[in-house]
Amino acid sequence: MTSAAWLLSAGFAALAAAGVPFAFAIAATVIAVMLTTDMAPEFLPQMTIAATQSFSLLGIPFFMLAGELMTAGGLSRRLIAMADVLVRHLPGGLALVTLGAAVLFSTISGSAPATTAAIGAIMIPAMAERGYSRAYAAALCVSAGVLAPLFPPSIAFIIWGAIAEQSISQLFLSGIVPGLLMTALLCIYAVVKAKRDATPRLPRATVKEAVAAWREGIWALLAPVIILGGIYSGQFTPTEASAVACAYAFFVGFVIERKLSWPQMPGLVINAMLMTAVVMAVVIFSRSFGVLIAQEQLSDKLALALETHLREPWVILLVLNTAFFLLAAVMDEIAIMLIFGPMLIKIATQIGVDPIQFGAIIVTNVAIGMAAPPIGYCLFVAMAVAKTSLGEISRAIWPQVALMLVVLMLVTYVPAVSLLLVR
Amino acid sequence: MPAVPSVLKAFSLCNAGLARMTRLAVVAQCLVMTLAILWQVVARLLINRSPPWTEEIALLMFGWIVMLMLALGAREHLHVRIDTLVTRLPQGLARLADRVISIMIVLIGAYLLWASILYFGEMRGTVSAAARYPSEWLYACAPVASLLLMLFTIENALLPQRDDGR
Repeated sequence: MTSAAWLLSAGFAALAAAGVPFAFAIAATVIAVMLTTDMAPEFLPQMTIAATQSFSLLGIPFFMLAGELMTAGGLSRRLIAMADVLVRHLPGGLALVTLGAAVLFSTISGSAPATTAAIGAIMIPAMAERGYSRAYAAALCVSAGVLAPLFPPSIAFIIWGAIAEQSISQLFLSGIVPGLLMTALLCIYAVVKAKRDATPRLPRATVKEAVAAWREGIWALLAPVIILGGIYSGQFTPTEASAVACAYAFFVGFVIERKLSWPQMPGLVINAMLMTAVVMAVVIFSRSFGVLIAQEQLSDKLALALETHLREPWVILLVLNTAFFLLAAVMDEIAIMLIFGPMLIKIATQIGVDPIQFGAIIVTNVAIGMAAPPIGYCLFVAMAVAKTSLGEISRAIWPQVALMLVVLMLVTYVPAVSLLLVR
Repeated sequence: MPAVPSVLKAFSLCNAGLARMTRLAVVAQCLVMTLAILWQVVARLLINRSPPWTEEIALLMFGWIVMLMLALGAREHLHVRIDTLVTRLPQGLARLADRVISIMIVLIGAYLLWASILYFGEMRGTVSAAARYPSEWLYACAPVASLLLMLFTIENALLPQRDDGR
């Protein structure tokens, strides 16, 4: 291997393991390679700025902002109230409410951390009050939150669409069935666990309560109808839909609900843009990192090594999934997608996997990575809300992560799971 | 907590002011970005034609927002990292490790500042394809953000216990 190849692999891994933020570990590696290979310094700013000039990625700040506006405008509370009147009386009722509300919230925000925070802030204390352990409540909110990357308007699919140059609308559709399967398995687990732990059940909602909750929540329900209806009727592109979602959330929060006020707005915008920057910081520096990896032909060498040693496509897919899962245990999922994306696409094409199905496989991996200990990003969001330790929440979430892995296997080996709605 | 020298206090106050200005700029840019895309949708629905400049203006704003928030995110310690190793070190060593990381980020900022000034110079005189705005308006975001990244990270290294109402 050349010195540049060592820097790009071992150098980057050492910096990331030493605690350097991923974005800056990537930037430092790129600069080190540029200095050792006498590249023009302009390469770094050129690639960095070019990475921000993607119309597809422009959807990220808008969906983040829409999520912030909807949470501040009280829409997440209303979504929870709607799910509550439907399923709270069942065994594990509040756990089912959490999952149902998270699916509804996912179709507005597209962000796993935002969904975990919005749902967790309300449901973790509510579940703890009703006899669920805090660790389980937090773990369930993480699992519920990571459903967001699978449902449109998923930010992970937007990023993958930009990397793989695939239709974002089709990618959105490919995540729906895996998302519903994951939700169903998590619901079954919640019911079985509630019965085993003899968690107290809540009384059934009266018709009056149900009607009131759904009447108040209608504005929240209309949001995904407008966003997804607009995209799939051809009225807006996904990026335009994200801006429309912001305008809708603003209108509902100000005019209908009257929960938003002008002094709140700068804070909400800054929160959304900071969350965007956390994602985009990795994206912008990964562009130059990816170019250097291509120059060193690391992707080709890895793809060739895989093909030489593993001939069966199903074994290659198993190895890719295992590698992604293990990498996600020590590395940011978005960084994995960006750095290894071009290599993964090359391998998938060579073994004949449909590019849309492959997108679904990658994003299912991303979703699981955000929930899997020890560094799943959403774990830290829920830990902050629940005031639990990483050890407690990790122990509680493993059975749920195992169920998510079952869905990953289905997405990987049964193309119809991801392509059913696309074709 | 040990007393903070007055020079450092002044530096921190200066940075707090810069952070406030950055936030204000980002709020304004976000407003322009949102209005541009909404106008694109409304114009297409009303007159069946999207103005050619809306996408470019929105992306110009997005470029600035990402770069400015990269710097502000560093100030707020928001960038994702694995801290498993650092948190297991004794307190003194952990503080040292954080300072070394801060110095590395300052050096990255310095390199990006130098490289982006060179790139800015190269791109002078060109204009964007549709909106015809001077390209410098976009490429200026990199040196500005690099400088902010350096200042904010130096502050983090010198005043790890800073409290300005974050």
